[in-house]
Amino acid sequence: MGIKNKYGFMAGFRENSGLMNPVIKLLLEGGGLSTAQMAQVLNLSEAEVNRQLEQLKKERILLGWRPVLNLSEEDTGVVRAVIEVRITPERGGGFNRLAERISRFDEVESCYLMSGGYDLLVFVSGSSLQKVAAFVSEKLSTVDGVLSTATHFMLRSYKEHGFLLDVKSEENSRLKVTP
Amino acid sequence: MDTTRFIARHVVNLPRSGIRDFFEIVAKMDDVISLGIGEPDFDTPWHIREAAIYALEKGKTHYTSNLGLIELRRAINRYLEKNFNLSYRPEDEILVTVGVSEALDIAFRALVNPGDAVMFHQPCYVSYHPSITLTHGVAVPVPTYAKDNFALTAEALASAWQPGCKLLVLNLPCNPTGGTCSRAQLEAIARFCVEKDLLVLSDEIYSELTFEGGHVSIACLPGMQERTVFLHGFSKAFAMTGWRIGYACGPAVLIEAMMKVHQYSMMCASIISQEGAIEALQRGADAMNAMREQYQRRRDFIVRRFNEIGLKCHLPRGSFYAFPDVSVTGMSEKDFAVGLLQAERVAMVPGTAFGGNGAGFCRACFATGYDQLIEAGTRIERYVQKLAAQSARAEGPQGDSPG
Ligand SMILES: Cc1ncc(COP(=O)(O)O)c(C=O)c1O
Repeated sequence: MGIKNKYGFMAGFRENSGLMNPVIKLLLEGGGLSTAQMAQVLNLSEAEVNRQLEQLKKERILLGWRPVLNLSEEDTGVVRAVIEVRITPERGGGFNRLAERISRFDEVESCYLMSGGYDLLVFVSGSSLQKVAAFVSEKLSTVDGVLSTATHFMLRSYKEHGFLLDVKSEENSRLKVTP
Repeated sequence: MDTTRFIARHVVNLPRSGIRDFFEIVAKMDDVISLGIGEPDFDTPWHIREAAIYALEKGKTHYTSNLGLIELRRAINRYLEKNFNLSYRPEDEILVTVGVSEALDIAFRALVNPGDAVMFHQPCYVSYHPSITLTHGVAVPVPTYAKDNFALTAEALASAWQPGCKLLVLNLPCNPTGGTCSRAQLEAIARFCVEKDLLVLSDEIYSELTFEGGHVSIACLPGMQERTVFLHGFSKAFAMTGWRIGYACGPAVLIEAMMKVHQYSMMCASIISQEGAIEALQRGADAMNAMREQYQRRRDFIVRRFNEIGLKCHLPRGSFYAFPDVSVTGMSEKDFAVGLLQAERVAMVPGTAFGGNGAGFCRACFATGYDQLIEAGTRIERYVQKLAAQSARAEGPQGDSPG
């Protein structure tokens, strides 16, 4: 079971939050409200909330939905790793073509261009250590333009997408009536 | 043996808080959605908690200066300069206290002679009246009204005023009504205070939780800083109720007088809380703004729901309390609150817990999650509809009675 810092997920978003769509704000607060509940809170019809969500998807601001799981507890046997990748930039496209090519592998969960000692930081997952290792050695490092990889396996997760893992909610310690 | 006779007379006569009565009913029930809580549902932002942990690790476990850590007093001054347009000398015009609660207590003890009259607007925070009684002062409540959105008016002040009035306690935004005053209203109050030579005790604990238009402290108005003791704390805006930390600012002579009482009764506020408070003032703005934004959305929702349900409710400009009028149900606020609790397990505090002028109203704190607020709205609606159906039946046969 996880608990979340309830005043919003992405700290950086708060600053210019005045510009943000109220539906997005509610989503980022992470209360897990249904569209019907969001409609009630925002005084909109449920159809309007759905329309706005569709619009956000169309604008590719809202890309999709993912559950945030406590994988260690579920014991699903997923192995995850972070890989530092150095690649050769190309005239015209820079890092983009290679980054996109790497991103398209199913094993890749996220991929970022980084400043510093390497170029791409790639988050991958697989059903076993061998499978992840095989992905790195057979697919990733053999891509033309990949110069080197450094793979770090994740041992344990403490926080996922704003949710603390293994910290029980202590909400009931609040008194029910106070001045 | 009858030990009651050992109790001081003015304490025997002190009424129990209406909130405590209500709390005892609620405490025995399960699955209650409580809108009866006067504190944030958020835990203190982690960076503040972490700063306190760090302070403990560094051995910050000693008494501090009676006035409080000088770093904290400097941070308070910077914060007030930036956000309140107020400036106080950290060396002798700021006193760190154990919450606004202690600040109020020592202010009354330092300022009130037996028989001095103290004015305060009502409905109000539960501790004003008893604190005045405890210092043998005379409590002079000034009513505020729903028609003014519970703003205090100079007219109401003038009609409640009596010879011997020395202090005026202000609490804007107000617990339990969420009422605030416009600048013009404040100016009229300030003129009245100058005219009647009143000293103002301004409890501005909800000031950061002002949603529309900025908060104006009465201390900023011309000529008022010298006759205002400004009280503030960390409990509400920074979600730090359990830390017990606040402060009083004012003319050095008055702070020195309060400091004498503080020195002999409290010594100093907890150093750990003082360290947390420094962090809150220096780096707490982002988290505080994020919390305020959520309170505002919750307020808009719950106030709209109350009005839809038929319980007239003004939009509180500040605080995290809505104050709906439940008198349309034909019940007293107490019966309504107890009935709602028993029938639907939703707790709201009867308005009379905050003084006589709260009759007909209940306080609903919206510092709780949307799912709870939505469910509370549904339950209150069901209860109000049931009451309406009952009273329609009680009004006798209306044509379509069976048979
Ligand atoms: C108006 C008002 N003043 C003071 C207090 C007490 O604040 P503190 O926690 O700083 O003692 C409260 C708490 O509910 C309040 O509502």
